[in-house]
Amino acid sequence: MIEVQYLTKEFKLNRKQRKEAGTPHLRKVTAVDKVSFQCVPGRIFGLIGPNGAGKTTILRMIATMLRPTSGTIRVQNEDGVKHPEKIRKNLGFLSNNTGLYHRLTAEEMIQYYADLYAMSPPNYFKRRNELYALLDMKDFAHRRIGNLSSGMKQKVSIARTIIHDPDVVVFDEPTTGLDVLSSRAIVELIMRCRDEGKTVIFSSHRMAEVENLCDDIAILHKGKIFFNDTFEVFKNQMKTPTLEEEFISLTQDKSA
Amino acid sequence: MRRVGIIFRKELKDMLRDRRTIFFMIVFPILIIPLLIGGIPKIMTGIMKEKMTEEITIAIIGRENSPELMSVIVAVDSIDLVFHIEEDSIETFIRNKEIDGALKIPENFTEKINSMETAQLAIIYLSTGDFEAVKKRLERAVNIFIDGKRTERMKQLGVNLNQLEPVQIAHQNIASDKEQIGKIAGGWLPYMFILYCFMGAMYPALDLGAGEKERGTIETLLSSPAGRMEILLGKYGVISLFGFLSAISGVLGLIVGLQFITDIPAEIIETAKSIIQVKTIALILLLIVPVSILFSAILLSISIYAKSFKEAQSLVTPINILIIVPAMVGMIPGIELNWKTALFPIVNISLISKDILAGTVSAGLLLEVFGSMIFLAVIGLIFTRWWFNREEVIFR
Repeated sequence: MIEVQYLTKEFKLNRKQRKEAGTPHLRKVTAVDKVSFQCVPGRIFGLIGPNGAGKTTILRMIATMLRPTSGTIRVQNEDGVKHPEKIRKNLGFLSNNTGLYHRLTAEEMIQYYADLYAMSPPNYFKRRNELYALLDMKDFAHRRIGNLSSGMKQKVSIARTIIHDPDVVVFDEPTTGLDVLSSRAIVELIMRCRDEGKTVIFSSHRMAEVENLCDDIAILHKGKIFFNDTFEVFKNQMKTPTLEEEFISLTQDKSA
Repeated sequence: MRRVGIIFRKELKDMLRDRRTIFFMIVFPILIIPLLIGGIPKIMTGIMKEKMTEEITIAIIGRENSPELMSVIVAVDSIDLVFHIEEDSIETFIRNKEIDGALKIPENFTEKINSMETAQLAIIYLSTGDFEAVKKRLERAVNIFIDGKRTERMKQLGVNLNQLEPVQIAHQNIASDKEQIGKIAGGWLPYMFILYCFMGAMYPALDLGAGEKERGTIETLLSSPAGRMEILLGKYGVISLFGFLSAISGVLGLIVGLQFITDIPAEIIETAKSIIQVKTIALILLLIVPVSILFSAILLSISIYAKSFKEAQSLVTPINILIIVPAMVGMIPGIELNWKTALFPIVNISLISKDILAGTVSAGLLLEVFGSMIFLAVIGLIFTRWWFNREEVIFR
């Protein structure tokens, strides 16, 4: 369960950023503005919005990499500001640009994270074997990551994300820049996490993916949420024939 | 703290697999320094020897003015003489490398010599900072003639050499050989290990900071239960270790290099051996520890700020100069370690190494140097921690 209330994040601007933005008097920007939503176990929550809407900032705050300026985040009933390490222990994080250590083997990479999550050896071996079988990784587990194909690397990333069997999984635009096959692997992972009763939140701007996966959605624009309900509700109130058009018209309305 | 160990071991494994880095940081210094120390002087003496013995062609102007001098010069080995060149074209001939030099004997030469006056003689040569071999060889030849004439004159005047030297000074330097060599080598040794410590720490620092950002692994690591301080300490440990190892291989290179110098007198080798003692080495190694921790702090702070490996590299390059200049202070004669200089980072390391090698180090100053370096290393660590906790640094 993820509960987000009045979450706000401001970033200070340095002189160069102020100049580039053409607003020399502006000292800070509000990347996320009093956002509230809830993600429940066993459902997939989609955070949808154009680039710069604040999706990554929200997800990074949930993963406790960034501190909120104000508002609260509770993950599995733990407060994100007071007990960030407790949240991280029970959370898996994957983004389109999370990388791997090329000089380690796939197995070493996964074990490194298992060690950081303080998994007991029997627990680790059991989970590892499950994932190897599931992702068909046995053949390349002992090869260096630098020598693997991008599809294989994708599998290592997936195994790394869920090796500790977290209750909460955060995906930040996980399929951006991936080919069809790799995207499929990620989509399957997201669905499997839902089926296992995990709390899943993911961000995207691919409408097909959203339609395919999301149980609940929040539409984000310029740091503010202007729609938050189930996907069904969203579809029923649509004024345009396709999701894509609806999305564009919504964001344009808000920009105007 | 258990996670510090996990991170340390992983980063160490990661770095050790980078063969190129290991080679340049640890193997390279042991190979290149001996080559520099042993090789270059050897090449220089080789060239010098060749220049002093090779056949050269010298033009003589006015050989008729001193047949006596000519007879001396003709007898010298490997100098060919030519007599047909006009005085005006000497320079052109030398520049065109048709001759190597010229000797000009003026008309009144013999007359002046015989009348107890000072005669003039000109050696014409072309030298641009080389060994001046032509000049030296001609002088050596002419000196045979001059020495003969001087003895002749003294005999004629009825004086001997002692009468011309009213005072003879005896020099007694009470500094032991160990002190003298210690102070000279002591300037080089810290320069080597400070430089190698920095270079050795540099690549791991760039890789474990900016490299982690560039590969996108920092986000994953930050989403793990590892705290920022744990991540930092794990990385710090590996970077410092590499700085330390690289510094040691620099020192080893220096020691190996000394073995290659063949033409040093036996007593100097004896003294050098008396310097290389367990106690001295242990003290030097101990000095490297705070240096490598301080360098790690500086390098990791920069590296973690940079967005990419390339940016980190361009930020680190100017720091190089900031390290090299104080490291060179030890090589400037006259600057001594005192309570003030002991407070300057790097300068103090450079100066105290000289004292350690010379065996003249005082316990008080040693403590002061360690104290100030450890203080700085701790400040560096605290700063890096604060720095690493700043969101605008990590997610720039």
